[in-house]
Amino acid sequence: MFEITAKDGAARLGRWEVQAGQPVVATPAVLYVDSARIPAPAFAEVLLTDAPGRTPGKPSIHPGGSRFYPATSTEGASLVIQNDLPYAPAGGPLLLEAAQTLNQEMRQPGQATVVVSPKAEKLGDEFAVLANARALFDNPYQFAAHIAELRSRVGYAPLLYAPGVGLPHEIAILVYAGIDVVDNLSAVLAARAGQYLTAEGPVSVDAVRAPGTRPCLCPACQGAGMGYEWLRDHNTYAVHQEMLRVRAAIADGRLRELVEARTRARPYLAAHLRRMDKEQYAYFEERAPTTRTGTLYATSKESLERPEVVRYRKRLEERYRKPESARVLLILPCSARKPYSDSRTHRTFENALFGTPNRGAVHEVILTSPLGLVPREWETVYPAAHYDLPVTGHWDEDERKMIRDTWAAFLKNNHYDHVICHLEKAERDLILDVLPEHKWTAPDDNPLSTESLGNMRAAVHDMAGPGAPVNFRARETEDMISRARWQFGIEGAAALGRNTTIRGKLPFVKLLDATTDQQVAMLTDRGLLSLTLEGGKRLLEAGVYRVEIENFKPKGTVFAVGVIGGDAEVRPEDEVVLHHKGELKAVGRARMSGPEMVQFKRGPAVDVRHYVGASK
Amino acid sequence: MTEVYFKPLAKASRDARRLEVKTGDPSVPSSIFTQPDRYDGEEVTARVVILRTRGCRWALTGGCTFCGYVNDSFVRKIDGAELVAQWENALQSYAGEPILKIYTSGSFFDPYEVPEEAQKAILANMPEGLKKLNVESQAVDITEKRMELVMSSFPKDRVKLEIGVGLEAANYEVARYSVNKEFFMEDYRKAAAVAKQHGATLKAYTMVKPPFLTEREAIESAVETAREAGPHSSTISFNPMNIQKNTLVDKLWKRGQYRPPWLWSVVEILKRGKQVTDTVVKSDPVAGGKVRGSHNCGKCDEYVLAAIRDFNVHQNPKVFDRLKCDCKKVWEDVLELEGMFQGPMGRWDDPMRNSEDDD
Repeated sequence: MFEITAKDGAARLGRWEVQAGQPVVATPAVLYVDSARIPAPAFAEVLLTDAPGRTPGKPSIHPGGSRFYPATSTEGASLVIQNDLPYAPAGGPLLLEAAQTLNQEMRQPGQATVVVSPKAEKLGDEFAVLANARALFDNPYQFAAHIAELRSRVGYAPLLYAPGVGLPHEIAILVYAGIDVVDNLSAVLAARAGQYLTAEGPVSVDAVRAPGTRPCLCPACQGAGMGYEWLRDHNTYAVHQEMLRVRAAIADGRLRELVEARTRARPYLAAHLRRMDKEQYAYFEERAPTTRTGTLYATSKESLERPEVVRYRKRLEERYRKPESARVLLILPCSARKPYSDSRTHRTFENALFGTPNRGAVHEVILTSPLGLVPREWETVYPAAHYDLPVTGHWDEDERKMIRDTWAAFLKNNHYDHVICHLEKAERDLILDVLPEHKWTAPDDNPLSTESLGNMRAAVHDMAGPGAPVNFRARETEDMISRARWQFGIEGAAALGRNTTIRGKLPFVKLLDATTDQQVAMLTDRGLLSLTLEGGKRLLEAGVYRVEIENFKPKGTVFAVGVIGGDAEVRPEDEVVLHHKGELKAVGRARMSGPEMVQFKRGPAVDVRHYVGASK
Repeated sequence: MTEVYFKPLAKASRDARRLEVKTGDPSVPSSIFTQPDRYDGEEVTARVVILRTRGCRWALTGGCTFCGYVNDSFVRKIDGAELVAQWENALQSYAGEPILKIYTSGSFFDPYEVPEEAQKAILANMPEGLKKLNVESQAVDITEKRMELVMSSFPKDRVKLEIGVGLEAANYEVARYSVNKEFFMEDYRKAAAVAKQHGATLKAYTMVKPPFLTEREAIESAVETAREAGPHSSTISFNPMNIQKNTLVDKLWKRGQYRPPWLWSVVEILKRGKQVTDTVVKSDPVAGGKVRGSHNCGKCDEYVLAAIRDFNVHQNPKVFDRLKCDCKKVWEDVLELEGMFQGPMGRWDDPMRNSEDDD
């Protein structure tokens, strides 16, 4: 039995009952070797052993040998890994696929399948073993694609065990990629090779052999031992400690930040992460939540390619259209404080513009990294309202290119009568060659100077003032629909915005049917619109963000077992409409992606907000 | 009926090869050299003649996953007369050695590789003073008909015939799914019976650590082969893997997904092999102590190899008792843990190839 309790992207926290009646194991988990020469540590929750019963009372996983020499006795094991045809990746994909077919045929009921090919079909298993994990992980060209294809094929449900990987500095990225179980095999062997393991990478044992020089408070390091056993025990503690840290990062929604930090340890880890970002975007994006509560720290080169960041930029290109009545583009610098409106800088801009005529014709758009740009009405969405990054005034090549490309695409899709650029020189230079004719209002290189603020006020006055007056409410309604576009796409937003008006003040703005005054959705401090049943009805008509359930009255939480279908665009934290064969049932907040809630048989899929048939 | 071999493995083995048609004089053998050997309990010199044929029929269609002998073959039709000419040329350098060994790249008794008239002509042309001839053949080519035909020309009254057979592994699963063999232990038994009727004996070449086996399984497979083949063989020769170019094993090795056997394993196999059979067991590790051959850590290799050579002569396992080195602990770790990896161990099992720094 495996149950997920929390997720962060492809990583999940869970509870795993290896065998009924045995103690439940927390995942992601480490299997600890328990062999004749290598005893399992006391803190081990689950063992990897060729002699079950050596350490009684704990669940044990028993390798079943190979097709050449199957294990002779597996008596007493909680779970046996099947004996398999152990072909290595260099054998080529055809050989591995043939072996995969044989392995799936040979598996005995209740045994764990060994997966040699990423083309493994749906396993239905709770526990699958990734063969050749060490060889795959040592090759930056193969691992990301292998794991993404395998996980996509076998689905969300099985626990995935990668044997032989799991040095402390490797654990974070392995779990991030969707591995649920590792072991301490490599850590034990590293001791024999004279490596003192830390989460920041191996250290030569001679640097830390003397007690008092050891950068660790584990009992082995606090003892007097200086030989192999000290090193082996320390390495095992280091694995345990890092796994606890990884679990904490998942619970905190900060695993990506930990992964980016850990990839500094060795180049191959950074290579894996970059390949995951560049080549397996679809796999990771599907699992990334629509919003989070904490801060997104963008401190490394890899942060630019983080799936949620790339998703934001893609939505900017695919879903974004400027509010119709906006005719004057006002380009502003970003601020450290989020949302920008709350910052001193942006309050200063607001004060400078206070009272200028026809503000509804002005569209403020903020230049920033790593998002490229943020239209004012999108400043509350994830991760625009959540990111923090080092500000130095220097821009590296990747950032320059990203910002320029984002603006080029934006200005191609969105046309304004006038452009005002209120940026310092270095920032203006980033986009100068894609900017149309514009008025630069901060030529003194200080957008906050009295002179610049005066220039800006004058420019807005001159450019927005004379045109046709824009109704302020109408403009705010357009902004609201623009936010809906980020969240529900173009069709979804069109359906929600049909014949509507707004009421209320930011951040709590209601979208209402202009005729019936019925509420359609409300903007909340999550930065997302939450739906009413009327809003759900409109989404259902548009055919997006739907979850189909069995025919029941959904109250509280809908579990995955009751879900029949989930639209492919649904991500964890998205607002969704629940229906049965087209009949509106409820609206709520997704806890899983659309594909995940269909594949999974356990766990909460949607938290219901309103359902049809509730007594008032 | 299914093929005797596993098609996907045969294809992978074939795909790893780069077969080149070679020019060159077909009347000149590939090489001729001498090596120390034993005859009737005495140390003697043996002359080895490697005939250059069109190539092993099995290797040309797929072949054993580790065998690169076909790299040296002509890969075009070679007439019987040309092979006979190679033999006649080779005999010019014969200097009265009691043992002659004729190696081809595959099977001497396969008419595809060595035409029948050449088999007969070569076996008829045995120099004076010769005591023993070694040839190599696939087990399936050692048939009643074939033996009758060739032994009618061979001077069996004055020369012993020992046929080396690349049995590699007595275990069916290993032979089929690792070695990609075309024949199995049952065929070997039949071949041994036929050979015996004609006064010849078989020498079982046993592969130490064919691909995809763990170090521990490699030891099991070699010992199992000695036990099964011992009663049907005059010698069990353990051949630790050496990485030959253009083979599947070469591909695995280059990617760090295969490690040749430890010399500690060869020692273990000789010790245990001696216990399970009464016949002679020996091993001449090709490229021993080198990274492409059977090796330990690079520090103790010469020392262990010397003990193995001593054992080959005296058959006394006591020579191994005094061997020790720090790397033996790593080898013991490998025996204990490798099966848990469910695949190659990566950097951990080869101190010679991988430096202790993890990158």
